[in-house]
Amino acid sequence: MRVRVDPEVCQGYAQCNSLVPEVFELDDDGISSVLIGEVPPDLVDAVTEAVDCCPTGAIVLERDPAGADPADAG
Amino acid sequence: VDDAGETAALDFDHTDPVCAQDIYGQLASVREICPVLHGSKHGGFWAFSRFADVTSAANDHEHFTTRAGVTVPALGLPIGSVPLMTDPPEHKFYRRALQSFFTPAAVARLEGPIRDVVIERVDGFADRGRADLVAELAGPVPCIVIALVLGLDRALWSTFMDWVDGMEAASHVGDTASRQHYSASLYEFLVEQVERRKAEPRDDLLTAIASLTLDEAPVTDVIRYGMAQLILVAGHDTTVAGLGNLLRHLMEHPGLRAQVREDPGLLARVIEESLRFESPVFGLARTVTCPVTVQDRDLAPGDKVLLMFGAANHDPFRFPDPEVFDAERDDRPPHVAFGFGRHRCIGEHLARSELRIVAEEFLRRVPDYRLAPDAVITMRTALVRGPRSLDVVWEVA
Repeated sequence: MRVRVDPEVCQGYAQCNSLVPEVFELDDDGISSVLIGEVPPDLVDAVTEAVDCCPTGAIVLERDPAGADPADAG
Repeated sequence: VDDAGETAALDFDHTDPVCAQDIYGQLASVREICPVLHGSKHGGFWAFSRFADVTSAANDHEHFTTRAGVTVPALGLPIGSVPLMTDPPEHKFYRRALQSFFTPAAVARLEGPIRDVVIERVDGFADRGRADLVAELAGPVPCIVIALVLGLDRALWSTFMDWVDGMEAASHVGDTASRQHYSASLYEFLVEQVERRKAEPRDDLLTAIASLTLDEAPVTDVIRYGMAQLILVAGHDTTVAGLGNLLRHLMEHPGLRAQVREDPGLLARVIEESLRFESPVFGLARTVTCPVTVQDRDLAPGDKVLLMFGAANHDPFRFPDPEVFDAERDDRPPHVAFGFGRHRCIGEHLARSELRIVAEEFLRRVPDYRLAPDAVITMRTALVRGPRSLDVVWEVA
């Protein structure tokens, strides 16, 4: 699973950074950015929660095609 | 707006006892004509009341810095708290260093120890039928929990609580000597604890702070003490207030209490509404770095600005009928009780966990309670807003 933040939509609430600091960090303008685009398996649930919690819907998930082996993705 | 409202807008003071008792009533009466208030006390300060102004300033370090203090009046802490009182670019490196201790997963590992602390406290008074829930529950729990998080001797909890309370009380009356006394005691304590971890490392957060080095930003001993200070000071008093507010709201809404008993999942929403309705951190300050105009007010470098998170959480443009406590409220847009942006509370998940566990364990032993007949609730007149006491009674089976 890959994740990115749309900087045009993000307003800097920082909820994603608070939930999954391993993946989301605020840049110097206060806008969220991803530290690692490919989400490690143990953080998939946390990233999904961040997507659900984002007040502006700025986090975009790109799931691997159904049935694909995550190890082969990307 | 009546004369009283006009006066409040021109000379706002959140520490004034009359203003503090009905602060949201006061703000509602002036909000439209005067979204940026001014206060002449505490050296003079501006106060932002609108959600949009509060949130945009919170993330705008180029105009509004945290470096020169985050409270009005100045609390008088011995050193700068880190990462709160740092700006980009180094801020995110300091924050990143601490954040792994406060993720939802890290907090989940503390569930059992926190519950033990809460049960011990509730057991201490549940059979009595009357208790001051601030003194006996809301006060001790966060102090003991933050001692557990840092790796401090939990028997010390009332000591550091007394220092911070003493500093706050002294800052409000301008008692510099007393403030310095408490501040020096806190500083000596922080230095001693961090230095001891350097000599004898343990498996705790203080040791992680004591041994921290970063490639991207300097880590001096003052930075280390500042990190320990941040966790200790921000980590207990704010949650004391949040717990007092939640226990009060559950007391004032018996129907809601019954619903929570039926549907424990509702508690999470009650907690969020309690945080919005009476935000434990009413506001935090910034200092203006270069000329900036907000709502037709010209702010000059050096001006203090209070970002009133509590007022933002009562902004009718964002929260319809803000003066109604409504646990069914749509949770978007979310409240800003934990702040907004890069300085958002690092301990928010720990705070929520404490709020939930205290409510669960208290309601399990004391399902129904009410204010003691001779008791009154007065709010603290500080940036940290919660009841001074919550003297309640209940039937003992």
